[in-house]
Amino acid sequence: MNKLILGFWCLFLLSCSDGKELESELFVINCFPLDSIPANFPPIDYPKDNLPTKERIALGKKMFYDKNLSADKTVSCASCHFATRSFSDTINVSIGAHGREGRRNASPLHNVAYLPRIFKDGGIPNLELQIKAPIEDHLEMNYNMHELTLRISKDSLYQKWSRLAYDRSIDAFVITRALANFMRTLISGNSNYDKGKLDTTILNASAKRGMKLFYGEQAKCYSCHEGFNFTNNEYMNNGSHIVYKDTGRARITLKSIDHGKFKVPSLRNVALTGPYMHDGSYKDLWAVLDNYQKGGSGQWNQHPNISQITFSNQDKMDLMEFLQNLTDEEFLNNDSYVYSLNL
Amino acid sequence: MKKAILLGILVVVLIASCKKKKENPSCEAVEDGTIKLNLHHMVGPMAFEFNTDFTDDYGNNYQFTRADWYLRVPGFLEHDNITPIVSTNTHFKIDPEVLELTYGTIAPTALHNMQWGVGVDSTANHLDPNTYVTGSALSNQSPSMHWGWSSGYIFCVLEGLVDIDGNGSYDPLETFALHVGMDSNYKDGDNLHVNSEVTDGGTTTIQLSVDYSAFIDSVDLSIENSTHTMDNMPLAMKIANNFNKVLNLH
Repeated sequence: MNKLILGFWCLFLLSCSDGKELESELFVINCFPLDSIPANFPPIDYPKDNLPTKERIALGKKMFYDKNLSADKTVSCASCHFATRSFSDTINVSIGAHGREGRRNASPLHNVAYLPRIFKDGGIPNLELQIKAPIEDHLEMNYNMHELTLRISKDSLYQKWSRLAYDRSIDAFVITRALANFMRTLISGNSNYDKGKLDTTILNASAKRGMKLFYGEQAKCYSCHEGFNFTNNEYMNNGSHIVYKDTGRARITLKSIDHGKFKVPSLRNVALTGPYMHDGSYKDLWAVLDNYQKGGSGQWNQHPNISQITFSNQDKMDLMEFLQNLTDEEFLNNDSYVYSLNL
Repeated sequence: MKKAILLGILVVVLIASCKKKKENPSCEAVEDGTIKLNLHHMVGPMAFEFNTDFTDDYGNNYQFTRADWYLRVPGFLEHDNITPIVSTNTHFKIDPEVLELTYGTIAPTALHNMQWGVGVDSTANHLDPNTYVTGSALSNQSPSMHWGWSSGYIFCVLEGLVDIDGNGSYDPLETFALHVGMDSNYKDGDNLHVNSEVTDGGTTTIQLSVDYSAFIDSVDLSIENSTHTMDNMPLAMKIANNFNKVLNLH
């Protein structure tokens, strides 16, 4: 009930005039403390020139939902990264400005603060640099950072927020820093699996059997999907395809040894981030499990960890139950990530 | 005693001020001189023009619609090509509308060899373009000169039309787009023997000619007409290997 009242207050404040907009945003952010990083998560390594403040996060959130970031003003970041899908998309490849189809399946954005490199091929070293890529990609927002700066410089609200957040007029630096700042707040670590560490009654028997499989020597899922974020952050060829039209990590390194390698994804909220694989060609988790069960496609560069697994149907259902319990409902429904003003 | 101290201070100040100008016996103030680069944009022997027919080495007619590139000037060297005269590593974003560049100011001296290259050096290539002041060469450009997906600059962008079928007209699909980047494709040119003098408070202008046909030397635009580097590395390397022919003394 308290949360409901709080939610109404947030909505009420958000509906206020422009002058109250930032205050409203800050209020919403205050509704959900941003310093509550789960105890089993490491501290975030913030860049020195972009330490988090509520003003910066609020500015980044406003931009994340702003379609003015695309050339034809039809798509925002949020158009392909839905909060309720752990900030991933629901289709194989997202539709960008001018209705163009993208190249790869949109990655979920939870816990991007912890990624050592960005993108499925690791082409970008940090979040601040990553921001430019979708804005300028002709299949995504098809805009230009210089032109974007000119466009939103005319917005007095952005100018006001920029000064409050970074003490400078809005420019490419502010745009990239603010968006990265907001994205670093997308922390997900409160699934049933996490709660189950403190309360053994939370996971049901099937999920517990699935967890045993996940961490056992039969399935060895943990060998790639390890740690607090269920990823080793390596680039691996998992044999999802026989022919990789998208060469993955090799696109960056130009080394044949990296052919078909993509970043091992985090499995948090995995039940909601389909379709799967770099091109979204696996429509559900059953298809993914089937691929691992048969030992992958046998593609020449497939990682040796991928080998045939003997699964019963019950095993697969148990594993699926465990994966379902990696869903963090509070994260998916966190109002502080949603910008409800009509931009 | 006080007078002696005062006199001592005066002597020290005088020596210090003369030390800076030791080559000037009169100890008069010497102003730095400015080094400018004047660019003459050419296609072979002809002046560069957009939307004008030129012919490649294989007899294909073509027109440029875009020709942007990065010039790097690491500095100037003595006759020995080793001893630096000035080493201010500078990148310039060039297009055919750019006629004059200012390299910087230095104390009067003789300039001998100019170092140069096409592209962005491997250190600057991976820095964040969003941190540069708007208008500087390595800041965000419009149209863009930076690949967001790999975080690196595009060293040269040559785009235009090519009469692939030789029917005398440019059909809609008869285009070329040559985008070259990546650290391995940065190329230094041979040092240019500029032999100029930077004078007291003066401006030294080095006349340079840019040959856009040199970028596509031995490139058959009818078949070698597209690279965004990763997707056609052989063509990108071929163009990069031509970089050292692009800039000459005018």
